[in-house]
Amino acid sequence: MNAQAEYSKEPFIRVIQARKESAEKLNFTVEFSFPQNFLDGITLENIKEAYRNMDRRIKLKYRVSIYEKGILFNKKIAEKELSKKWVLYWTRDPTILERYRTNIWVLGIDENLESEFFMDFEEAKTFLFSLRETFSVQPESFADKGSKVFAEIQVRSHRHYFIEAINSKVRSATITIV
Amino acid sequence: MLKIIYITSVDGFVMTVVSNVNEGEKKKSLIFIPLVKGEEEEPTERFSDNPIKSTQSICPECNRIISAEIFEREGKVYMRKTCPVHGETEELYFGDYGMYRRFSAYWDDGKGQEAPNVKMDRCQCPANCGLCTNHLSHTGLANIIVTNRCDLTCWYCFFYVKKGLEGAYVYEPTLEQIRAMVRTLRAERPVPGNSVQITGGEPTLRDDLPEIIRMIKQEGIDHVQLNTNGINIALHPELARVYKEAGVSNLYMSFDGVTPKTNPKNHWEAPYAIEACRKANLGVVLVPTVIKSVNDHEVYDIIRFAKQNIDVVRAVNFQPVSLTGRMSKKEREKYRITIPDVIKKIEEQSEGEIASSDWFPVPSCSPVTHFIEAITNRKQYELSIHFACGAGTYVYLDRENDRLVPITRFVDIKGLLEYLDDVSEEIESGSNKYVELAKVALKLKGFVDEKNQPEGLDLARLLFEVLFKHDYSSVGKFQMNSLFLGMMHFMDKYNHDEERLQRCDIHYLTPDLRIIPFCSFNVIPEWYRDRIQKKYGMPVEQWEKQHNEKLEDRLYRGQLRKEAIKQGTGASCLVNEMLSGVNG
Ligand code: SF4
Ligand code: SF4
Repeated sequence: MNAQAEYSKEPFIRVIQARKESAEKLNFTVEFSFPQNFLDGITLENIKEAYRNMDRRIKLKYRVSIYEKGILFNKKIAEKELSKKWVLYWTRDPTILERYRTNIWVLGIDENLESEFFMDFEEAKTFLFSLRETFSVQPESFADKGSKVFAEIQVRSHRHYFIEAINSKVRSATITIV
Repeated sequence: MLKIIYITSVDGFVMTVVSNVNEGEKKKSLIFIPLVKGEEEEPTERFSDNPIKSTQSICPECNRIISAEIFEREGKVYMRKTCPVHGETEELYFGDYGMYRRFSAYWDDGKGQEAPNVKMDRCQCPANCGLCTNHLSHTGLANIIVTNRCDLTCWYCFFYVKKGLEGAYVYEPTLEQIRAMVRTLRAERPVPGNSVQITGGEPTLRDDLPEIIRMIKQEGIDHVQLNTNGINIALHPELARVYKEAGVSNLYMSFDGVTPKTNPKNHWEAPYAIEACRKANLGVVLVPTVIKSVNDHEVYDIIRFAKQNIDVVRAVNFQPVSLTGRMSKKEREKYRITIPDVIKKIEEQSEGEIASSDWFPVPSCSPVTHFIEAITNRKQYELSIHFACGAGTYVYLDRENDRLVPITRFVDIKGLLEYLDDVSEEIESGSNKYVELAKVALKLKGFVDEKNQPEGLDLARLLFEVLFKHDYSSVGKFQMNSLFLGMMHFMDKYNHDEERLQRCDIHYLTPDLRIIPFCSFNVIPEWYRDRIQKKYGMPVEQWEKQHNEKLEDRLYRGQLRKEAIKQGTGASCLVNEMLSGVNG
């Protein structure tokens, strides 16, 4: 069995925007990605090995939560669950055959259960192992302009041929709602 | 009134059959339109093309294996390929890009089969079929051609022996040859083939058919389907009982429309055949070949006809036309229809009763297979064809409102499939199987909206039986209470996609003990069908001498049709009754 990709440092997460659009609407954009050395450990060789061993569907479940930072407690103001998948398949795409010398390739399935076809392996990894989500929430009495917010992402996946089981929770730095 | 009923193209001609329909009488004439060989196709504007992927295909002129691009243009998916000798071909591949993305999300490569007949390190689809080492689906349905004789002489059909043609031969494998073919199918591993379709020509012309059926059953096949035009059964209704008793599970009967114009083959006879099956308690699957601008306006009427006969009709399996012979791009555009187009026609004609969103691609069954494999620890029968090959849905009859209710209106199918996939993963990653099963049993009802479920139906219970008993009879019970609507778009040389072919699970068994995918067997007959049948067949004259019978002796001479038209009774009366139900 090929070496599995492991973490050597924390995934990257940040809230890149927290904006109060109107009295009724707060927008947040959250960005998340696994560390590069983890992604580098996922190679086409271990993808092939996984395929041969009938390990052909890799699903990552993400739970994204936004908290308002309080003095004693943090208050959850939004939450979203979504999942993304890779399906490994035997391609007859001559361009992939030529470029990567492989006939085992990945198809992405997004959170709406629609497919994404890739021509580039790095692009396929970015699709599955990173996230950029925008939330629109209706604020209550909290989370107004000037409030501090942060995001937390929990990501889970079963063990696969090329990755250990993932169950990690990471928290972003706080930013101020503008 | 003049009406085009069929089109094809042979050897550089487009042939159009025109019927002159006058109070039920029909005269056919052929119009031959010459085509220039290797005709250059008009280049198309490309600025709006959005590439999706590439694949491999064949040149429609010379069968050379070439690259093909799949791309989106104005919401539809096309294939474009260029042969260095014969130039570019562009073809509609899938009539709706949104549906393409939704369907492809169910992509699931199968287990294949571990006992290939053709051992290849690197196959060259479609050149090494047999099946070869790289084939990705085990056999879902195995066709056995028992004769290439037919009692009809549809001029556009390439499947039957045409007396008088140079080199015409009759192909009729012996009982022992058929037994050897079935044993080859049963030798497939890890999943021995379990489903056979007896086909032709017209299989009912073989007098030893009951014996063949019994033998196939004795060899361990659970499902035996009989592909027929129904004429012989309409003429001799007792045959339905004979075949049923021998072991036939259902008829697979050609049925192209609800009018004599759209269904010249068996419009008058089909009701007799259905009635015979009703009496024999033998299920029927109606099989319309859908051709754009010819019968695509009747797709929902065909479903309504099936609904009228839901006690005996188990399914309608639409087959968007596969364009054979050489055809110009313009001709192809006129007749080409794909799975999403038929689905949308049904939605339009049924005013949303059966909507596009009610359909799922065939490989969407995979999570059910994965779940059963996880709980039994045994490899199971699966339907792992390409998402663009086939689609289906179940509809239930709401008797109170006389409406068909698609299963998606009261079952969260997407949610259920995702959930089953998750549970299989949990079990495979070491969770306690029994705890997971208990959770599924409790949760299953949550996916069924009992309020909207047609009266008398307990779908949660049927699903429970399929998932937990997972035997042939519980799947049968699930299907008995419904009408299955299916589609399969057989390929042709214009839209041939080797990615689809490599996943094909509709196969042919041949006397040289190969198992050949349908879309190589019939799409490249010069490599497969014709070559094999010639090798194992005999010249017509020899067959006639051996059987002391002329080939034309068994031709259908329209007895039922003529009688029904003359007297205004019988079949025509039956059809009219049904049609007034349909149209009224
Ligand atoms: S279609 Fe299947 S059997 Fe035929 S060459 Fe390709 S992989 Fe082999
Ligand atoms: S017969 Fe043709 S359309 Fe059907 S599964 Fe096989 S390749 Fe696909």
